Amino acid sequence: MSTKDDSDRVALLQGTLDLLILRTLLLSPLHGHDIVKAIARESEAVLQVEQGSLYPALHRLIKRGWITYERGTSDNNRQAKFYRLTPKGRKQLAVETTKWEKLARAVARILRPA
Amino acid sequence: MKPRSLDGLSGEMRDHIERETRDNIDRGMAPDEARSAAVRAFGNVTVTQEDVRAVWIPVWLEHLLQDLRYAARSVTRNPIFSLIIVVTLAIGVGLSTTVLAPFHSILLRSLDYPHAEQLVSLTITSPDLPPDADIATNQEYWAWHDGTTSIDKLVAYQTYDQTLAVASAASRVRVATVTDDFWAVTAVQPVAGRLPTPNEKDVVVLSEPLYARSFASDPRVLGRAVTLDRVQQTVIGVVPRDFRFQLPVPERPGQQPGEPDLFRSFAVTPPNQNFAQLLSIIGRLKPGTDIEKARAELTTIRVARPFSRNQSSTTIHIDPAAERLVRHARLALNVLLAAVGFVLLVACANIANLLLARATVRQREIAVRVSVGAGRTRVLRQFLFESALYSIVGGVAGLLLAGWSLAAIVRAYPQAVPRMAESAIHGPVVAVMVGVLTTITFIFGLVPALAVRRADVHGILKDGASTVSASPKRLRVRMVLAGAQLALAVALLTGAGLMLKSFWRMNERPAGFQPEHILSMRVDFPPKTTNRARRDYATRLLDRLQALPGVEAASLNTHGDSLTHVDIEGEPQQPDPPRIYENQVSADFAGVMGLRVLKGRWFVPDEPLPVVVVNETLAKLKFGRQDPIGRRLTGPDFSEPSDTTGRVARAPSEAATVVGIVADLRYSKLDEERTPELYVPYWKTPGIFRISAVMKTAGDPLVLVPSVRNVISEIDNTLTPFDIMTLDQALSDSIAPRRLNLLVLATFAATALLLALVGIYGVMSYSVSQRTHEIGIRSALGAARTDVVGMIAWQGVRIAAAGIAVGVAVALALTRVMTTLLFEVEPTDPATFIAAAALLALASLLASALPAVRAGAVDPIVALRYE
Repeated sequence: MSTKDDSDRVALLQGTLDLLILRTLLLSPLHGHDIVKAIARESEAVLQVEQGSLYPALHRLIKRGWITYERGTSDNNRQAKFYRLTPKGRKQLAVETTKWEKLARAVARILRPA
Repeated sequence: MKPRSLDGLSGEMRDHIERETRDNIDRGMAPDEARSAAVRAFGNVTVTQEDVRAVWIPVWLEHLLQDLRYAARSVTRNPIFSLIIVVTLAIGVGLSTTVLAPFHSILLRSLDYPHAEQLVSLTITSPDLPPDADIATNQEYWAWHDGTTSIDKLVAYQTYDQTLAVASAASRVRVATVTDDFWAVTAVQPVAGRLPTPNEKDVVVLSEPLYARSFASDPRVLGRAVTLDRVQQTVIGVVPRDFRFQLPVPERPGQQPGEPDLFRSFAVTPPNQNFAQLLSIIGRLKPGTDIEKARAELTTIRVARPFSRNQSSTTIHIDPAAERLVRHARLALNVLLAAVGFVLLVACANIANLLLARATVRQREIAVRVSVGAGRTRVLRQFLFESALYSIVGGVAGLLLAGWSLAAIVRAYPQAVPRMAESAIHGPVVAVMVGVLTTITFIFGLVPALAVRRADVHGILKDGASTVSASPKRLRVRMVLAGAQLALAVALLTGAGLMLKSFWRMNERPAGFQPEHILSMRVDFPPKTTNRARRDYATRLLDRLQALPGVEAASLNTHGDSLTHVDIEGEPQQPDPPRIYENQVSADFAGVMGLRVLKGRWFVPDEPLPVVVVNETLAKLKFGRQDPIGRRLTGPDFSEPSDTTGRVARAPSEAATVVGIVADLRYSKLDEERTPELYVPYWKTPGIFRISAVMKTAGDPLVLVPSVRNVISEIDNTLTPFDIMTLDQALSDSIAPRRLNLLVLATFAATALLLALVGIYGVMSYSVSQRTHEIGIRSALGAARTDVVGMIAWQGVRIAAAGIAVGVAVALALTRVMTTLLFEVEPTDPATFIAAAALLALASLLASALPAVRAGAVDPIVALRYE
């Protein structure tokens, strides 16, 4: 099973989405809708993702072993899946964050030369 | 494989949209608006689900499905082309399996009995027995029975036909008489009743088909009495339909092969001074003993043989029973397997040719795919998938074809070869064919793909769309393939031609007599009648038959029933005299059969002095270049024959004068070897134990059967005629195995010929289409149409000549092994070789003439503008 081809298919925005999901789950396990809400809230509604695209991203992360899930009962008394960061995912979040910061700094330097 | 994380996916998404809807309502939207906003924000649910699932599909699988789709599309895009390949493959696989299945079932599968590999056939050859008799006697049986330590079960058995009388109905049945160990060796379990206990006498066990046919499968028959040739027997059991009698049975003149209808227990006669009982014997080796140890032991056991003039010339043969059973079939099956291998090769060459042609056309398509990023491995894989599709469809069709044709052959010739009836396509045969198909798949998938891989992608793409041309090298490969096909076809045609000529030889000269309108039937005498009573019966029968309307002439003979040896009076006795058949005949026999008298005369009625007539072979054997007429012969005078099976030597009791020489008679077997035969007037001989009545009839011989039956039962109602047949039919039956061989081989040869012609035609047409431009230039420069036709035809002739030359060489090397399958035809028969080569030369000329004529019709203007 090749992850290289997977990453080939992942567009930049989706890659970013993966990072945001990992960051959101760092604090506590959440179900899908709460993840979307958290991202919107944290970014002060600047980042609006198409909510559906969250799910392929979640499954990609599960497949890579960065997050996992457990079934539980949600506040509206329904069966729901709570996604949670794995230790591997925690490490990956650190890597991805560093990468992202480097990228952001580089892009910023180009766009606004000092 | 579906990951568990996908469980409840749609529920999760519904839940998500509901939560969003609720949040929207909390933000103050109207419920309807809130819901549609939530749905909008989520996006397409179905597409999202697909995307989630797609995450879990392995990439390789996705590519695999994609390549499979490409392959299927490319196979169906060119349906005629694909159909030709599939049909060719189906024919190749079908014919191969049709031969391989009986080959496996007959030669390779062990017998149905436990410890079958320990079963050995025990026979002797001796100057007192017919050559190749495959038989032994009661003397060997008892000597071995008492003396052996290496064999733990010894079965003596005989098979012959007897009359089974049940209440008022009588029928002829095949009886196997077997000693007690038979039941232990075969380990058969009865479906009804029981098996004989040791030393139980006069009991019979029925086969299930006879039980159904004659007793309506009524279990009340168990314990009832029936008579077999007027001897009372008690029915005690029934053996199942699938029980097969797989013991080697010697060939006997006039006895058609067949499964026994019933089994009778018997005990072997103790050795005595009066006669030898002829038996078949098989033994089961003790565990841990091998055939060599058994042979060493048996040769040391002394056997008393009071009838043998020369004791030391008796040889014991001990062979695996399974091998002995089918040894006559082995060679024919080997030859057919080799032949079908050739057909498969021709079929493969044809397919290879087609695929190569197509690979050329597809170079461009492949080049485009490679250049837009399809990995070379994926192109390769697509080719493999295409050839796998052909193999699967062609293979399945071929196996179905084989199942059908094998069933047809088994139905038409169930007894042509021992174990033919049990032939079926078993697992190992399918496995071999799957192996062959896998190999074909890889070769046909890889070779064109590699050809394209080597090709220069840039070169192909740079070229104009229409000038994708074959490299001369590839055309050469295809010409070699076509030539190889022709070579294989020549070899097959030659083999089939030799068989055909054998057949023609057999039918051309049916043994020196005219079999048309001759009705033949046999009558056995009861065991305890006197010779005088038998002779009187024969004379009365002859008179009555002669008087029947529709019968032109009636006669008697005993061909094949008794064996003797003779000496020439006044010359020293040979220590090892050749065995000769004695035929006790009535005076009209020669007239009825149309037997040709070569020298001297035939018998007259009421011959006063002891006289004999010899056949051509006997005259040559005994007298060489001397003239036998007028010489006197002496022979032993043995008493009564032993049993219904006993062919114990008898000869004229006193010296008899040779009065004539007649042509060799092949009475019931067209392919019979030339055997020495001595004709004696029946009224002069001491004993007859069975007679054959032969009648020349005015019309259809079978019309007379009822009145002949009446005559026989009027004279003595305890006698039943059997083996009622027209000699035409008997002769035709006698060569059924050869006819089957010929039929199969001829089918192969015809298939190979057809495929080879398609092959050469394809190559020639292709070559013409490739050379259209060149031909146009030649015509434009003034080449005449005949020059162009000649140029192309010459190309075809070169391929054909090379192929035929190689084929003749192959045939010369291979037909030698067929020698014993042929009849009065040399394996190197020049006429057959020339005919096969000429036929193929002519056919391949025709196949290349069509493309050549088409080349001649090329209009130079069109051809040049085409560029």
